[in-house]
Amino acid sequence: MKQLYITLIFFLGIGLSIALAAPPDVVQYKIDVRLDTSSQMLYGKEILTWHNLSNDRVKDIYLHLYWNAFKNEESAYLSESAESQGRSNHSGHLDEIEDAGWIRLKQVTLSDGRSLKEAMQYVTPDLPRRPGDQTVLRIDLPEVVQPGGSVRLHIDFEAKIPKAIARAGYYNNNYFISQWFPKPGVYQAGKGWNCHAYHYFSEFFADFADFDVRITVPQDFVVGASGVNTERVVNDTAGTVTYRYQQNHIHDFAWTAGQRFIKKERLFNPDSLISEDEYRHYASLFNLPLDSVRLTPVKLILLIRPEHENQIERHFQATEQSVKYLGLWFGRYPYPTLTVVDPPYRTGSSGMEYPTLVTAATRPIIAEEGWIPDGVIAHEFAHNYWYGMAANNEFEEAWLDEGITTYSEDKVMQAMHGKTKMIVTFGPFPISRYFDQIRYSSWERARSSALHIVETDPVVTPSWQFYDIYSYFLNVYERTALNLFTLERLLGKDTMLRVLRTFQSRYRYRHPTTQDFIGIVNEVSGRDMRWFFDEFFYGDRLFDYGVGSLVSHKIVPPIGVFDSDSGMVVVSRDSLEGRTEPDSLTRYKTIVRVRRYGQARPGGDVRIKLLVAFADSTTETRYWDGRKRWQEFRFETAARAVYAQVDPDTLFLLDANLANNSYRTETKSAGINRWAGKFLFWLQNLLTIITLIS
Amino acid sequence: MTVWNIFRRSFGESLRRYPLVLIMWMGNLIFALSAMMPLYAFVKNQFGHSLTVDSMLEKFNMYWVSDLAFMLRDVQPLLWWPMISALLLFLVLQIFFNAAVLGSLNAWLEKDSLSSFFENGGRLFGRFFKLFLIFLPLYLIALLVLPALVDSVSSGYVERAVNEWPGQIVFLIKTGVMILAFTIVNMVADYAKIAAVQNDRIGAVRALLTGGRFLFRTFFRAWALYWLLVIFFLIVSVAYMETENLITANSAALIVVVFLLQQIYMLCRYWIKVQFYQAQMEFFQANHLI
Ligand SMILES: [Zn+2]
Repeated sequence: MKQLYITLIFFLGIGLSIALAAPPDVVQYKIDVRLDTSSQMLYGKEILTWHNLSNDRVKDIYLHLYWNAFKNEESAYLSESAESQGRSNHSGHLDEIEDAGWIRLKQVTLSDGRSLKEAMQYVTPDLPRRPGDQTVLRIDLPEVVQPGGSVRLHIDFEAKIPKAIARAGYYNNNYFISQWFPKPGVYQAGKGWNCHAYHYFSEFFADFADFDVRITVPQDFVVGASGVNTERVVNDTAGTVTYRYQQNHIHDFAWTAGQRFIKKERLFNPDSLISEDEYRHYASLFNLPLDSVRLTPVKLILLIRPEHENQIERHFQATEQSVKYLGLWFGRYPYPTLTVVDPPYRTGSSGMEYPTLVTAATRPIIAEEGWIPDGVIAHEFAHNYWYGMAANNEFEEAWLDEGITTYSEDKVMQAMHGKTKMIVTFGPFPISRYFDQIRYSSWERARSSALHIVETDPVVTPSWQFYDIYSYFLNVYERTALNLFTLERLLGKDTMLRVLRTFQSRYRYRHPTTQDFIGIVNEVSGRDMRWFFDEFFYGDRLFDYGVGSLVSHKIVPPIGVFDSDSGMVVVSRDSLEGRTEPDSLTRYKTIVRVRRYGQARPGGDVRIKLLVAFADSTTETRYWDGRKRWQEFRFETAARAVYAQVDPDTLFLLDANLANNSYRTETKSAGINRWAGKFLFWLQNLLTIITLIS
Repeated sequence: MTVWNIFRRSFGESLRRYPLVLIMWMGNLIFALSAMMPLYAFVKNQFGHSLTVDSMLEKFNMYWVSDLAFMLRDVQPLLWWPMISALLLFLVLQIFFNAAVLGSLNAWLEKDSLSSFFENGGRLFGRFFKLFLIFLPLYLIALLVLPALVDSVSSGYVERAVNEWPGQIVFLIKTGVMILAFTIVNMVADYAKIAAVQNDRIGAVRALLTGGRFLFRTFFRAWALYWLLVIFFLIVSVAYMETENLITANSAALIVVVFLLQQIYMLCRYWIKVQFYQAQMEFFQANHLI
């Protein structure tokens, strides 16, 4: 006996069609999938319709079969994993063979029933070639898809769920299911299919689509998924329940299922969270009508594990603040739902972004104002803007999603808590008592690690071609964030927000590239900032300016033999002795040499600023284009110089050595002694602890 | 004599033997100072003229830490290896100090002097070093093998877990087991050293057996005394941290105050070390069957 519940699509009535300006979706999915918990299998039927929106005649289709990355050690993913650990083959992931995951297309037919089984072939588009990789499948179509035409595939697939690996899998009968269904690559007009293998460190790229997915799970399972739950059908005979989820204008679909979830819902209500003043501020900042900066309600769905029940409020608050700030800054979140999942334990799926569904990450006990879980939620939700809606190619230009997202997350965290609090833990317990005065800003954190990989790779590098996993992570997350904070200082905070808002609105539901971003920066700022990207995104050179030397002396009359009308005049040191001038006439000569220690240079209209401060509290400012290796600046003033400083406003956060940016004529060591004392103390304690065994 | 009485007596007695405390503290201070000197000189050279030193007065400022880390990126081995050698060297020095302190405590009628301190250290060093070598594997068992054992015993429990608590509980148990095992080994080692000091004629192995036999009879009382001293040490440590936590400003005078406070704490650490030896020696003498 089947019962049928039609869940009303809540308050918005027809919440599924959104954003009038959105281009048509390229793909339509109708997927019916069943989770078999006894064999850890998915059985799926997928009807995939691909529309050819280009002017090309397309004769094939490329599909991602991501889970084959976990099938055997010939996959790009597992070989790269093994190689990055310095091993030959065994990455360790398949030591238990039931940990493997794979996907198999049992039948692929066209609408008229013609089978395409014979026309399928695994391909390896990336270098270096991994001929055994089966994550990309090409299907040669019997008929060309004409411009404006479409092709519909009926796919019958089965997939073995891997034991928790790389964002997906099962652990103890809890499931996180992502990158699980056959998904076409992105067809790029004139260039063909963009469909990369699943690499050890790369993410994804897909076209916008209209999803209609039915998920069948055991009756006692709680389900969370991308999109809006529109239907729930219980099958008592089979002991299952089928949930239907729908959403258009998204490019991926993930879901989770398990018995250990508490499901809570709350409405994001902009009226209670955002004041009219805030709306007016942003409307004038962006020069937009008031109504177009207003946010709309969003149904927030939280799936949280029972042991984190006392963190429900904290999760909702972080989500609301993220939806508020990112909406005010980058435009309203247009989807009717946002699902936040506290992912099942050990499913390796924490801190991941999917359209309209994000996974958080938390600890059993959390500290007030800590980065966990707020920062994770802010980050993953920000991805709905940078990846979700402005959907760049994550394989090729990961900074556009990870970097801008890290920057956005930092801005949200700043708005929520100010500087980040350092949280030190012992086992499950945060020990904030002796550490809670330690706070740092996002750019300080980003700078601390980013400097180390500047010379390893440019930021704009295909993900799988970074030198190593550190270079990938630090370049696309931290170095990009640092670059963007620098850009923010060069352009001004308001202009930076306008840049990002324009970038988002121009490329929403599209696939922007680095060049598109540069175009927006130049357009919005009215300046030519190409040099900035050439140097800091495409470049791999250190930026380091500093004061090479500073000398400041009283000007004394010269001695020697001088010509005069009456012949030669001798001025000796002795003849000057005893000659005193009034203080008011004393002049000082100051010579500052500014040096370029690094290879990187500013360009466009940006100059290196030099500030010299004098004993009488006056200052002098000079500018230098920074092209040569060094430049000398001379001053004649009424007072001696006290210090010289390049970039006194610290615009260039990415300067590799901020200490050499300034030079003071006298040394001061109170600060050094303070830290030396601390260091000494820790060293003394270390010595006593080590010698407990003596 | 009760454990509490011994603790009380040792408190006063170890204060009376302050020269021993001072010598050990000086050794530690001089050693640490010389170990950090290269880094100090480097920082002074790189930052001394920079305005950055002003930000070093803030509670925490990451810019200069990042600068320093980046400056040192290629020369870290230059810092690590001297540091590790220094630690090993200090270990040997501390073995000598232990010998000297216990020797001096045993000769309680003598007046403490540098020469008697070094004379005692020199006399006992050989046996103390042998004891150190004997106990080293026991410490390794307590600190590495036992925690690994807990891990392997509990792996199934952690593997079947549906949340992070089993893992965290195992971590706490592991830490507890490690601490308990360490304190036991440490206590046995202390009594072996005391036995060696009490009887000049016995070698390291016999000292170990004597100490072991002694503890076999008196284990729980000895352990209670040990923990009484540990708790006293913890109270002193928390008192220090609370006091330091109160100081949030960073004037030049306060930097000196904090430095003095830190050194007073270090003195306390060594004083409690002497008290440990004094109390355990008294306990040994009061309960040892001759
Ligand atoms: Zn991210």
